Amino acid sequence: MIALLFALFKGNITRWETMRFFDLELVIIILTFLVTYYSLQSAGIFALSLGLLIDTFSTGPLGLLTFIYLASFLLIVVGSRLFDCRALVGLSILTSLVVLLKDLVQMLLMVSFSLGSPVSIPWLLAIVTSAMFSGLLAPAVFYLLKSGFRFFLKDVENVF
Amino acid sequence: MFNIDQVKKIGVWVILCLVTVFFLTANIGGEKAWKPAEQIVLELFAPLQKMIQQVVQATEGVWLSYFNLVRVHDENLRLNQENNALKMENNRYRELLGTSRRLQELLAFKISNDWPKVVAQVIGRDPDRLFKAVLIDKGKNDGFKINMPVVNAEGVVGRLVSVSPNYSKVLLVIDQNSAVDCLIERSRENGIIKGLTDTVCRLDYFARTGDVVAGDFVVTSGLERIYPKGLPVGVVTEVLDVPGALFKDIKVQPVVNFSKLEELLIVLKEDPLLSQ
Repeated sequence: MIALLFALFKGNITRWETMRFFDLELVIIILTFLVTYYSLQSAGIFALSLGLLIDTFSTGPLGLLTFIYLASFLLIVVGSRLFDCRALVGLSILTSLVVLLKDLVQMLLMVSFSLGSPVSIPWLLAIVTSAMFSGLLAPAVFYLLKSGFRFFLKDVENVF
Repeated sequence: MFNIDQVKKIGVWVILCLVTVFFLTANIGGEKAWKPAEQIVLELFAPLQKMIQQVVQATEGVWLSYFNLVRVHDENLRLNQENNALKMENNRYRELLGTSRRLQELLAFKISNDWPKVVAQVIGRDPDRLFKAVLIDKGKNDGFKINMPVVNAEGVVGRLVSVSPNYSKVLLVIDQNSAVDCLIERSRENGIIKGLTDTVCRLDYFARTGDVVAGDFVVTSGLERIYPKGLPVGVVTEVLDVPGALFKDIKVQPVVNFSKLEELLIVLKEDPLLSQ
């Protein structure tokens, strides 16, 4: 629900060019959270359904964002074997890397399917700063998500 | 790193990922229009987005009205409205002046202003920062159809690319996949406006021998039969002659401020190619 609201709200933030440099990829952070503390199935279903929903609202071809979120999910699954998501540094690095790779994959797809090329210096700066910003804020979001889950779903407390 | 079970589980998701690539490939180059299933999803979730937009607008309103100099903001709104009205008047005057020089243009301009228009409210924006579109709160029930032009007091905003019973999606002029046939108001030479960034468009296919200078106004030509002729699109900011290139490299600043879109006018002009 949080991710859904955020995804629908995101366009309102990123309409200002400056805000694109601080574009928090909450969906990626929630995906990492689900992969770390829940099952692969729940994270995968989350990526698939949210991707399809965002695709409906987006102007891009249907399937583009679904693929990107599924690819991000797979990157997180593989990355979680290389980085410890329960540690601050590991979580920050993994989030930053996945956000960066997600944007690069999207760029590659857009160029491959002739959907326009976003490559420019502001775009490059925006994806790097967005990745860093998301990585830095990921531990705080994790903490909030854990607290929220503890508060609303007391029976899953043993997961953490 | 992974045991057999985990590899199997991941394998399922990899296959699903590949299926989406197939899905994506099948959708490339096709109509952007919403399919019935998408329309249902949109009708379900758009009210939520509308609510979010209202919350954002209300928050912005509170911030601007109460924390950010109340009187200055109100004065600014009044001046903005006045400015918009003057801009519209100015655009009309400029176009009338140009067209009167060539007599027959007068009729074209009159036609361009004769289409009925419907006001719609922006309720959401494209969640992906690389695509530029907005969602509006009116659709088929208000007579909207695909490819109807969307404008505001400043100029051309875009066109409808998807329509559901109560909502529509507007592809903005600044999107990289948007193309509007335009002409330089002064020299009447053609080119195609394509989106580049939020504040800059590119005027493509403008002949090297063509007459254009920075500061020239760009208006719709009406040739693609979507946009009425003579609507303001932007102002030429940069003209480069690239050696060896067939066309000039022209940058255009759109006249519309796309970060502040709220109310839009949808011109109820059907695309003749679609209505056939």
